[in-house]
Amino acid sequence: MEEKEPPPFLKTWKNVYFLVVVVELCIILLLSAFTSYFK
Amino acid sequence: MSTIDWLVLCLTLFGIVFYGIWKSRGAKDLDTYLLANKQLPWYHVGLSVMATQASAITFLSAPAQSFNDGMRFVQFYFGLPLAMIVLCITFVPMFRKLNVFTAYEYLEKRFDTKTRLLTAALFLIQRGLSTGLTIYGPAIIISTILHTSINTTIVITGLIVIGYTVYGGTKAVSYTQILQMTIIFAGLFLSAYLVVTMLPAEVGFVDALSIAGKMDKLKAIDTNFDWNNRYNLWSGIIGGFFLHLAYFGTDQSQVGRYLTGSSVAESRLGLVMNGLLKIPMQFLILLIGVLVFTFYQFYEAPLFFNKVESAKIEQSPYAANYQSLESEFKILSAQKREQVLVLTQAFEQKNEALIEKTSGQLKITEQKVKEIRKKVPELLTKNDPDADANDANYIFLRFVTDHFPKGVIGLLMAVIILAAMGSTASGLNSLGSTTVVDFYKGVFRPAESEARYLAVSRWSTMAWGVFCIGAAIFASKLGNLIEAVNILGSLFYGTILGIFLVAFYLKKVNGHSVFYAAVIAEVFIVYAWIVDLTAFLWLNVMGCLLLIVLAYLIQLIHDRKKPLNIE
Repeated sequence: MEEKEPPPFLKTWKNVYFLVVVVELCIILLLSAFTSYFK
Repeated sequence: MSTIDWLVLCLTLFGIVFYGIWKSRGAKDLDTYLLANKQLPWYHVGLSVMATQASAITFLSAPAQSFNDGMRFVQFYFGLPLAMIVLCITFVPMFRKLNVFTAYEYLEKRFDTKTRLLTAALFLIQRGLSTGLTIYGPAIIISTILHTSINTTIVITGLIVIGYTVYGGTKAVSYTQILQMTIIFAGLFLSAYLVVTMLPAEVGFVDALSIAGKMDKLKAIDTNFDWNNRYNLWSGIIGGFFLHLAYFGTDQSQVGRYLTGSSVAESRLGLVMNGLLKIPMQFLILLIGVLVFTFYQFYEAPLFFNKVESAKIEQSPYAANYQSLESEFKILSAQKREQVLVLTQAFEQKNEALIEKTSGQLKITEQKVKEIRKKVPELLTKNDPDADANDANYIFLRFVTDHFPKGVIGLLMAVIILAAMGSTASGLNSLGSTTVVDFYKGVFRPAESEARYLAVSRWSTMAWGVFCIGAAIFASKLGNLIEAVNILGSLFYGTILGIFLVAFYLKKVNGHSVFYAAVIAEVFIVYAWIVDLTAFLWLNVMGCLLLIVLAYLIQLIHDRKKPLNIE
């Protein structure tokens, strides 16, 4: 699908999706650290 | 509740309802009534999407889930951000390009009328029953506070939501949801702060988490793969991905929210906002449940959290049995208090040996407490077979009413009721839209006037409201609501998602093949649930993949049977 309306700041939609994946990975890693720390 | 609490509750609720009605006045056509003229900015779309998913069930049952079972339920949401990406890439541009009101209109263009109607019907059954559950949620609160019958409160709260939804349509829903989510976030942060400040002076936030961790409540990530384990990393990412893709991509209650965006970019950014904020929000809600659990290690919890039912049993012939359980429970609670204070000191002294010893003792005492608690439902149902014997949905509610300051109780009650209203309103709006656009306009009366369609939208929304009230009255039998609503979704979403994925990605498969594949897949999924074949999250994956494979095979067989044209 054409991307006539790129998002602000991140320039392309691929960058936006990549950001979402990175944030999710960080959340999972943080939660793993949280689980290990409070075991 | 005190006068201040009632004032805060009523001002908040009625203020928001009147605001929604005022902003949505003047809807004259379906485009305004169903899609708010597609004028909304991304943050409005994002908040509306979040408010639709976060019903009262989230705020009542999720803390109860973590109170009883720990943090692992957070894994359920891990597939959500990935699902948002797929929606942004495929679903949003497709629905916007075709200018549809409902997700199912697209299926007629791609396949045929019967596939459109089958999918719309599956949606109506699932969403109708789910909306019943979301009406039930706040009715619990109000009936407990006012000591009224739960069925009366279901009817009254249902009618309030029906009122502004029928009047204002999507705009009323969306504008009320912005305010609802703002108040909800404020309420959540305030609750978390208050629970920690209410712990004994020597117990800080980290101490509270350490205690919860030693009692196995903070296992947020479980990497073990097990088909029958409901919540682990893999079922959350894979099963959760399919569930959330189906829910946000094919459930009209969500499609109708992001189609209100003023452009493809605004709709996408709203979904991305949901993807980034959802897991942290759910983590906070679940953490509140764990902090409440920790609080009750220091202060005595009720034996049974539903005051109405415990008052009934205390007036019954089984009062002595109940009091005997209460005495045992009080002794064990006192034991736990001593043990947890020793544990707190052990943390301060960093005495590992004492920490391990006391944690072990605490877990044994907690197990004994659980066994006593398990005897209460048996007693309640012996006294009254229709008793509400599962108190999971009352845990957070009872904690708030017993321990929070005046004024804050009213605010928290408002948060829970607002959350229910937001989801219920979206649900009713989508049920009305699908009934009119897919059935009435799509099949029975394709050439009526806009005014007529608008009138039928209002009437069908009202009719669905009545149905959902009926479903709510039945909901009390279903146990923990947040699990019930997601199990219900998992029974239908796999099939519905499969239909859409075939539509988008398997262009050679036609309407007949996908229709028969859908019927077979749905029958199999219901059978799989009845025989408890696997944990419910996997039903989404199974239904979806089964449908795709069957549709492909049926099409293949059909193509091979076609006579060859010989020239």
